[in-house]
Amino acid sequence: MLKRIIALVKKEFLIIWRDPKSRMLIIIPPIMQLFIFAYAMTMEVRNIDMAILDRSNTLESRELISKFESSKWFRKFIYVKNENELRKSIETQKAHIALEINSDFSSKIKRGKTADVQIITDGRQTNTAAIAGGYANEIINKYSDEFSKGKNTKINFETRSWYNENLEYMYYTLASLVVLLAMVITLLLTSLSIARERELGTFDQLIVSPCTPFEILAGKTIAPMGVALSLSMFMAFVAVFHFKMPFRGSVILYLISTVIAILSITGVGLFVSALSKTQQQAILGAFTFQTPASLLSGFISPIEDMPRFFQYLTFLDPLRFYMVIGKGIFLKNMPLQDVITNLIPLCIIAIITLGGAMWLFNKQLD
Amino acid sequence: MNESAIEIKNLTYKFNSSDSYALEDICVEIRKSTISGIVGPDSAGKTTLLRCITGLLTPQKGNIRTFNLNPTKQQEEINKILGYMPQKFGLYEDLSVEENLNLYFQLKEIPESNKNEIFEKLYHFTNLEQFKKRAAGKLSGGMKQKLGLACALLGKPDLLVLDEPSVGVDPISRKELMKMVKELSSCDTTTIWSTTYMDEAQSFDFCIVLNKGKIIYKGKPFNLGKNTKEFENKIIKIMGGYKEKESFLAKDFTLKKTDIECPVRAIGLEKKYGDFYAVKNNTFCIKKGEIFGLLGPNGAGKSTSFKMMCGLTTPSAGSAKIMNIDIVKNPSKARSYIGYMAQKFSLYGSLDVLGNLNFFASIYGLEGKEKETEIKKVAEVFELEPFLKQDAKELSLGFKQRLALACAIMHKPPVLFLDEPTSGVDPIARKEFWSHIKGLAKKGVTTMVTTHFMDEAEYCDRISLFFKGEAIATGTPDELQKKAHTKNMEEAFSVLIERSQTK
Amino acid sequence: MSRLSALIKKEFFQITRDPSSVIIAFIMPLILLIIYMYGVNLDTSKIKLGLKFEDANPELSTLMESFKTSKYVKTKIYQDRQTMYEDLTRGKINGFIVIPNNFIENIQNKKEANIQIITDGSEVNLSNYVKNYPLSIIRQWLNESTFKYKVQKPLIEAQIRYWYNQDINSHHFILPGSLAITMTLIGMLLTTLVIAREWERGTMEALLTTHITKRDIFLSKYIPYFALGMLSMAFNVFMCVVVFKIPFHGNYLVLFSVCALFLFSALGIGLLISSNFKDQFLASQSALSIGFLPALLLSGLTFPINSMPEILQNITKIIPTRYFVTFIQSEFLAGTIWEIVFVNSVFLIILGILTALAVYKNIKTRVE
Repeated sequence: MLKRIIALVKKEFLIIWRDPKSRMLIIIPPIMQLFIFAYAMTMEVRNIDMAILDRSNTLESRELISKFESSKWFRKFIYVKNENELRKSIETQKAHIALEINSDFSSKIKRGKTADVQIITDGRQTNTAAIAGGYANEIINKYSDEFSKGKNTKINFETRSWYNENLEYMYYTLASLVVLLAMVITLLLTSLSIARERELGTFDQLIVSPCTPFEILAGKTIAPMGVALSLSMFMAFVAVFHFKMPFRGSVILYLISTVIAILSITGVGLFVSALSKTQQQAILGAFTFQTPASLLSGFISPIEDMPRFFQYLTFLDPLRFYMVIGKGIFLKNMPLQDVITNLIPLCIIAIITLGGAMWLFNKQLD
Repeated sequence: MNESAIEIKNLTYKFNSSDSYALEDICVEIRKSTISGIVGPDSAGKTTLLRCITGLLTPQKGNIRTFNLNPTKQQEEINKILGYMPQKFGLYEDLSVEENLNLYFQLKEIPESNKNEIFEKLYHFTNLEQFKKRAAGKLSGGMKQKLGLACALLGKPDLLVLDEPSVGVDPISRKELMKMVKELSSCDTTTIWSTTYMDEAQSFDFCIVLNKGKIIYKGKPFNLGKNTKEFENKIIKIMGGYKEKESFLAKDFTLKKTDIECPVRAIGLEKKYGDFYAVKNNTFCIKKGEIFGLLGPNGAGKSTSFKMMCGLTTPSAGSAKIMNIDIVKNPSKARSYIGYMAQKFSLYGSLDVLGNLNFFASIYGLEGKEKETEIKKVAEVFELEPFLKQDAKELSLGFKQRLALACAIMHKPPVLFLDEPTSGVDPIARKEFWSHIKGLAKKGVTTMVTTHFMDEAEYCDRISLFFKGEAIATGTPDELQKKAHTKNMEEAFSVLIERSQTK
Repeated sequence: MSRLSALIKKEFFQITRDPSSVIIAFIMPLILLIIYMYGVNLDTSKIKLGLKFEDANPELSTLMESFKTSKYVKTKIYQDRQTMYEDLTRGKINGFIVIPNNFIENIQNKKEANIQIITDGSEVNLSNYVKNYPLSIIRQWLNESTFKYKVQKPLIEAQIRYWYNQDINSHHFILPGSLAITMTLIGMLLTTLVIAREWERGTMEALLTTHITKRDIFLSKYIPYFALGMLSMAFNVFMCVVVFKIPFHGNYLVLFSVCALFLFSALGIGLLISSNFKDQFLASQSALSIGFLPALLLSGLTFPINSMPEILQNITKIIPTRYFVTFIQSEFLAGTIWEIVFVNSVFLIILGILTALAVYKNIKTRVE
């Protein structure tokens, strides 16, 4: 039995690896995407263009504007003359944010009264708008504090971020990306594997051989897992050595978790493949799984914020658990016990999907 | 009458991926209003020649005039007078029979006014009227071919090009296909028909015999032989000849001794889809060393029986036993005794030849030294050595067949299942193939085979003739011929089926 | 003309026979819309905050009350620092605040008072919230507490307004934007296999010997899927506006016109993949590996294009989804702004024509 499995694994591996075109399609895109997305995926908002309507035009107002100019978030400043121009610049997206200073700005400050300034953001990109608005508010608050120095009690907020001191967005991105790309690769390798053999007729040939469904499945699981695992490890390696991302946890624990996570995704891929009669259906199945799986993995928005029903749904999503483990081990040295709590669901998913795929083999014999 | 339809001068074609010429220095003239056959072994260049004539391929050298047009530059004009049926028929499997006909009707821009008349006639000839609404993919093999041919015949083309239209079709359907071509095309139509069936080729007005990209004979088939047998022998002779020799493969083939008398047994085998019986109460026993043939028209249930025997389909009732082991109850054990060769080429096209041999040797439990010597031996016997590093999908059909047989017998199975193993294979390769099978049978290998070649049926020790899901006659080829009062298998086949139909 | 219509009819038959086309065009978008509606929430989220009060001063009870009643944080009070640290590592809390001894005393004596805020840096987004929310809660508390007189009101106050989306409801911009992504997936999934399949099944060879021209093949692959795509778009917009009640301020005619331009280029990409391969396996592999993530991550819906490095900003210029995301968000939230319609349409037209030319060039009319 073992010898047959070895032969099957070798065959699966050769099928993935022999054709140079298919080899390129497996290796190049994920690695390219790792590099591209590492830079692209950031919630930080930079290069903000700002429209300024300064009705006050005094020393104080210009000083406030200079604070914006020296900030790293803002790029271009467009000085406008009236409301209408301000509206126009936001409307046509020439500016992402606008600052409006009233004419009584200086006089109010000098009299010790609170002066209002308006910040207008483009709510069409609500996310960006909220973040950019936050930056602007921070700058204004700081400037305001300079005036009231020494006049009242000072409360120091001593803020620190553990695990990622400078709040490097890229670390967060990379930890998630390695997980996302592992899924894409694994699905790519597995979702077509059975459907393709069915379409080509080789599946019958396998079934007529003494190979049991278990052995066939083992072959179809181990070979793509090997490839996906090596690529995942390579990507983790790139993240640590090229992008200088910290790796705080245990390497062995990370390896074991990745094996189990990829096993569960392999299960999903093979299940989809066993369910489909044609490659067209298989590719559709893969898409239908991977889009929701990544959206619900907690990577785009936190799981706690989802409605109850969707939170339950995420239990079916291997990415959800793998994402927690990946981030945890990379950045936090997550304790063993917590890694295990997240590995158990992955094991269950793997058992169900692989078992399901095997059951489908037998069932579709006729 | 004597005008030329196609003139080919010094035509040469070479595929980018290969070193040798697919066609080399072809010169031939085909006359109008004739039926010409293109005969030759696989990879002789038959399909390439047809594609050059129709303009689907552009030759590197030489000159072709098809109806006084240049196929490379005037493809559109040629398409206006052309009816073409490719090897895969070109049918849309998810479209119904009627929709397929409609599509090609409109693509050929035939005036709507005669539509009903044309369709009626086609339906009449193909017997497809009742299946009008059925998806083409759900038709049986013979019917698909008829439909494909009907599509090619639409618009009464001046030039009809058919690429092996009768591969894998039973003798009755083949006759019907021939009849369709003769009656549905106008008497001015020029037909070019490539085939591996010698009886077909012998009946044409003109034939071109290709071998390794070169023409080795052109002229009237009658001049080669007055009947099929003579014609076939002559063709084999000019293709280099074939000498009956002992199969090297069988020579040192040894089986483990067993006392089992009937290695393959079917007991009351039955398959039901809904209310429809695909196979009904089928019982037979194949003795050790016997070659047992399953014959019958397409869709008669022999494929289903075959699949149940090797465990690809679960029977609704009854059981199948291989070496006394029930294939449903203990599949892995039972299957280890089987060597299986599928109808469609079903090895791994993206692996190389050696990779396929290695893989199948291993899953059948060969290892180490034994595996190496076994692979070496089959590679030698089947002359696969020069191709060991080539992708299996790039092999010619004949070599694919050899590779498939090699993979099926490396582990020395006591039982061999062959599903239409020689469809589309040329006469020499077929003879070689059968010499191996007969040799193996002598060594005690029990063989079950399905085929559409009636001459092959005569190699069988016993035959079971299927029709509408039932075995209507079982016996040796002689017995069957006697029963039908005929002198050859082909007629026996037709007579017995007709008899059962009238019952 | 009759040839073309026959081919188009054939494609339609194939679409209706194969349930997967219907699933692609209607079921998948529905699933995605529901997920974007309920599963994805980019609004400021409720953070889980640990609190450790080392100062036992009773004045602080009002501060604790402020934290507990805030709708932005969910607080957990710790007695012991060690368990709090562990909970942070486990992700049970996103950050914590420590109020040290003598905090109140320091305020009363107008001395400097310290507050320690620690965030979980592995969740960068939440980290930012953890930094900002407690700040405003404490400021608010100071203004209302008995120490009111000790602190001065800030001299400059910023009023932030969000145009086009007053209540900063993230669904109002995600859902329209997600339509663009869904339409990209649909456009690609529908077409990646349609040419490769014909080669693999041998039907292309038969078609090529009938009277059809290259133009017929080209158009017959665009038109039916274009129609199906538009239908799917209409369904999507209906779901968005009528079922999920996303406000629409634009003009439907403009919306669907630009959508048509977009679909033209999205189908073009799928057909480009398809026409490059005669093998379904390779076509599927390339669609799977290059189709999904770029549309999701580089379109500007989830991550702002402006913040990307220059090179990447240039790469996004060849992604049609990017233009459609910008347009559709603006059309939904701000109504028709001609300048935006015009700029994005021009880019979509250019991309559409370029892909179409490449597809036309790639369609082979010979077997080799």
